[in-house]
Amino acid sequence: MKTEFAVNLGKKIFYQAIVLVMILVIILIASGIPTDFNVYYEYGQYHWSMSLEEVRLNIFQHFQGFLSGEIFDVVIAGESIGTLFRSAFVLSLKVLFGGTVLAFLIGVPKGILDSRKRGKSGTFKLLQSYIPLSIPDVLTVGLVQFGAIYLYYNDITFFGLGPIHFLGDESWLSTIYPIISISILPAAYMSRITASTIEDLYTKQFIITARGKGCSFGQILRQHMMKNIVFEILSSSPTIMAVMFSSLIIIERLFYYQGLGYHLIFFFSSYSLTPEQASAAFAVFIMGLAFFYYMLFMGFKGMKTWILPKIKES
Amino acid sequence: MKLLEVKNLKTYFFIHDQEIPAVDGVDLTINKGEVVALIGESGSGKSVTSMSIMGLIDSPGKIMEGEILFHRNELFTDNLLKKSDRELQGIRGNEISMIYQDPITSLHPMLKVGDQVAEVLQIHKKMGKKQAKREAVEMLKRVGISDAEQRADELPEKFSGGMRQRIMIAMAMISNPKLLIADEPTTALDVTIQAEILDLLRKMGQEEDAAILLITHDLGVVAEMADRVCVMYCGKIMEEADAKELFKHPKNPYTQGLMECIPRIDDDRRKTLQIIEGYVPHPTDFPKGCRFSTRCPKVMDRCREELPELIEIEPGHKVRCFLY
Repeated sequence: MKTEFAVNLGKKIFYQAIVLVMILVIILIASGIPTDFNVYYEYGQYHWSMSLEEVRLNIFQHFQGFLSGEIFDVVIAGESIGTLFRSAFVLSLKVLFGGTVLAFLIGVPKGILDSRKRGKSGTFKLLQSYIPLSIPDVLTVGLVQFGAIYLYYNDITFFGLGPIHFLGDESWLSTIYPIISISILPAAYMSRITASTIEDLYTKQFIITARGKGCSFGQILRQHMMKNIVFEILSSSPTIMAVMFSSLIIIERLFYYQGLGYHLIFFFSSYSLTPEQASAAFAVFIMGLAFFYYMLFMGFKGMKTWILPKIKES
Repeated sequence: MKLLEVKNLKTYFFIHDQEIPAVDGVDLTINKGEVVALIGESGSGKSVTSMSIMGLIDSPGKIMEGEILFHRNELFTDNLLKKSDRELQGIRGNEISMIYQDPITSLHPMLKVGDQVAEVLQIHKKMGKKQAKREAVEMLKRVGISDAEQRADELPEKFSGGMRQRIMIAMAMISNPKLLIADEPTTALDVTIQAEILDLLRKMGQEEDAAILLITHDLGVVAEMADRVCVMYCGKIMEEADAKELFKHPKNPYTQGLMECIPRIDDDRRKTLQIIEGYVPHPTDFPKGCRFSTRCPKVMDRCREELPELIEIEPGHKVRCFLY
């Protein structure tokens, strides 16, 4: 039984490793195309800005540079790409981690409130969760930034933190707005998961038994429901994570927060870098982001598919 | 001495703008230490009555009117319908406990059984976790769980249906309640286990001097356990009497029909089993007069127009029928 489990797990990991390598190769090919490569239409004819041979050579050099590690040593604005990547990665990690924690802290209590208010002011409460889910994330981030600008220019501060600047990443305070922005959508998502789990559980016979024992709503929630809520949230973590990663690029760009997402857009759109520098840096960052996302995604997916059912069964 | 009095209890459900009178003016009295059986077909309102007493009616259900008087002692009486949810939490599981029809789904699948039993003491007796667990193990021994110390740390899935119902009984009785509501406690169990569970219920009730409201549609269980019987049909009490009296001299045609449906071991095997003709009317379409008038073999014109009152025809024997 254990051997069969190990073999199955090994097979899965092997297949996933192949998928990961394929994805990385495709990204490397795509990012190896020079950023100044262009196809344009002029006088009734299509023209290429460089020959396909040049593109192929560039991709090949890209692979060589990546496999030999030379690509990490390319210097941009006085720093190697490797160093730049590490500092950007740490910044992005702070936002992602902080956003996850904040989303959990807001989403779960909000879901509890939503479920309890059912039949009273339920529709309005429900809308509070549905609105962030239904509007584009760029608008959500824009609204947070608008609020941040308003607070800054009116010298409004909280908890004695002083005015927080709405752009940049000079101090740890600058992380606050990106964290708030990135947590809104997952918080709304977690809120819906929590509310629906409670609604679903509340009619279960074992919850009626708990109520019959004299448990208060709080006791039922802590003792009889919280495990299920956390299980459901963890099961939805691959989706939540995808939402967060897609928001990360927008958030970092709008808040001028120099994490992975910010740099990706910068490398792709900046005229201050040579095409070779931009291409190399873009490749490293996109590969890093893809690898990080994939590992996290597979970790959560593995937990959902393998670990959570095992815990439930045991 | 009276322990619980239910007066004119009306619990309605509101589904798709329709009013469903699941319990429609029920009067019921349970004395201290007494076993009262509430019998009737499925959908007659037995379980809704018990859930109303427990204060566990949720939307779309609503208790429309009535009183549920719980006599704590000779001096203090509480109307449970006037109590806040917080006050009811102090009564549920403490002074009034309940066990349910399906022991398989009644226990939390992810919590150890010992913890589930001990939780009652932690809530109501404010005991620490360890002490509550010790008491829970003792209670599990009393209800017949062998190796209770070890098994208290197991999840419900490790127990059979009968064992789980024993755990439910332990959970219900650990706080020495004055009233135990048993909602069809043997319906989901194997026939061989049913007698054991009934014996255990009776024994625990006697030891703790608790009254039992036994909800069932099994007349065999009633004959075995009950001191007094209330017969329900379409949300109304049709007859109420001492158990022996009811089995010997059922008065209401519905009760008579129920009694005739019981197969007996000495019956002629070639004889067809008796049934009550017709169907239980839909709750949104109860007849204007007597609720049983659409199926009653002794129906009169008056029965179709007027609803008879529940009247006492002999001391302790009440019937809702124009024949009396």
